[in-house]
Amino acid sequence: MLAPATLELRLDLPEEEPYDVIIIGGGPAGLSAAIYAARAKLKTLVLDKHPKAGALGMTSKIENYPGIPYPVIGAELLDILRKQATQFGAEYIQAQVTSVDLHKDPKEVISSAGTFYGRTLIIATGAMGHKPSIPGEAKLIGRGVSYCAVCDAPFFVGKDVAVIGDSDEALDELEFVSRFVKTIYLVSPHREPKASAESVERAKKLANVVWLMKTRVVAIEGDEQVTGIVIEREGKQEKLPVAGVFVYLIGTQPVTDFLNGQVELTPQGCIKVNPETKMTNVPGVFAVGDVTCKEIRQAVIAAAEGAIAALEADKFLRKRVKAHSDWA
Amino acid sequence: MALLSERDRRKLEEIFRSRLVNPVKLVLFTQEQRLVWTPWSQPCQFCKEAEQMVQELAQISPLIDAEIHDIDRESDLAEQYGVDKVPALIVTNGSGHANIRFFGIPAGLEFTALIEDILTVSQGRTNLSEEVRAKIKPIDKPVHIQVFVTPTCPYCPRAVLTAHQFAMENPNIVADMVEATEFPELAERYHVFAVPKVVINDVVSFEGALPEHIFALYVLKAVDQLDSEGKKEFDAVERQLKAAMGDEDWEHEHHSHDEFENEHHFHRYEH
Repeated sequence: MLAPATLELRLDLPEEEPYDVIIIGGGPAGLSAAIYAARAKLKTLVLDKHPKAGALGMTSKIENYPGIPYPVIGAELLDILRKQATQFGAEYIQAQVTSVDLHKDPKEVISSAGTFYGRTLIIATGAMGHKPSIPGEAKLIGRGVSYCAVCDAPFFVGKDVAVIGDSDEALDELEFVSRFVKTIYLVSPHREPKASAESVERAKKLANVVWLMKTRVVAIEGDEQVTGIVIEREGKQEKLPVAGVFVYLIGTQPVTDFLNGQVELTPQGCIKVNPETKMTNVPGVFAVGDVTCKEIRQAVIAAAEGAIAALEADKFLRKRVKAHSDWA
Repeated sequence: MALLSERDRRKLEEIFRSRLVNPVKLVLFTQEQRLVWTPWSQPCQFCKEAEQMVQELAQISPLIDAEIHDIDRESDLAEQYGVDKVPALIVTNGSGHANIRFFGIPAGLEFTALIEDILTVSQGRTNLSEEVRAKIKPIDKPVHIQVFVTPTCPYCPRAVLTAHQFAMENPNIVADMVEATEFPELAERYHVFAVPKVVINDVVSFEGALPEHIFALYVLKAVDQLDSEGKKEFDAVERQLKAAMGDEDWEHEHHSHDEFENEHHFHRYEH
């Protein structure tokens, strides 16, 4: 059985003219890069998985961002940066990037909003990635453990599933999952969900969600496929039979999984860049902000790096045009 | 009621007018509704809709031709095309190759994949890189690629298109999109719980929309045609994918650490 909406025909052909710069990540680094790139008249696209995700997006208050002389909520500062970038002509699309192809020219970016092509890329995905860390999680990926609700929810029609995590991203996916499954157990270690009030309010309206607050998942069980989770509440463990587990946890890993090894990383898993130009080992691909692992993780430093990368991307594109015309 | 919205129809009119080169044939196999169904032959879920979709597309451009067949009444033809389930849609340029196939309706996000296929077949050239083309061309053994998808999966059309472009480059390759929710037994047989899932010759499989040069390595692996350089590349890719899927030492780490360290970061921002 399919949800009726899936018979809709969706036409999302990639744009024929590639972008000059595609920025992956909508934090301070990515948005500052967008401001500089768009202002330099480059055709610029920002792909951001969620405006309230990331270290700054989840910060309740920031008082030391230059030029803002009063405490501001992280997400609000991002709103200002986003507005500034789009005013200069940058496009902003909320989309998660799952894969890139850097062997292609222009480079290919595969996202939840379709495929995009860019002459240069700036990676600013931050360092709040989750690496499979719950016992059983890694083993059961693709066997009931999923990180893509819109992809995989149709496999759990009429079954019980768990969603682990309480961020805006997690709660935004709940509604889609709820259309297919019988019961959703939403598992969160916090007393109240960390997501914004609007997301929580929307999620609370869904009839088939069971909220398990102050609860941790200690294991995901199953051999061939997921059969259940073990949860811990107030010191007591309990088994919960579910067929699927959607994981939306936040961690401390640099977010590089979508690169599939095409960019050189440090042994710690951070993207390696030329400290001057922020270019990675792949020509035309830059990385900035926390994904390059900073000694000091501050929004203003990420923002400054974004500006450097945008200017370097511009330089890279000009050189290429010059090389082409010299050759001709 | 039309399946295509008026807006999309007009958009397609423009796209087909400017980008179609040679004629394209859409060969669709459907099945008539019966009165009695047995457990081993279930009704076709979206045959009617698939037929309507193909007809609507054919009406947009004189270069698109629709051919509708019935899998029961024309069983010989179905066998010739290797069609064993419906709806089945084959995109061909009429050269006799029928190796670009969709099983299940290419609706939802897969509709874009169908349109891109029509354009590529009509233009007679894929947009694979030279490097990948050089890998795929020499394959001389039969390859069957099945890409399992759901209509709402945003990353699936790219995997389908890569497989279909391989098939365009090499007639030894047959590439199928399989809409997993319409063929649950097949999905179960291949343990499909996450999409896109790619199964090659029933021997090699992977999940996710991988870049085409990595996809190509898996195809070569399936037919045992990796050269020494390719073998090294393949091993490196496997290592990386495993590392990304989690450390072997996950038992030493509890995910609550994640949340804790995360809080720590917040404080560092809030001076």
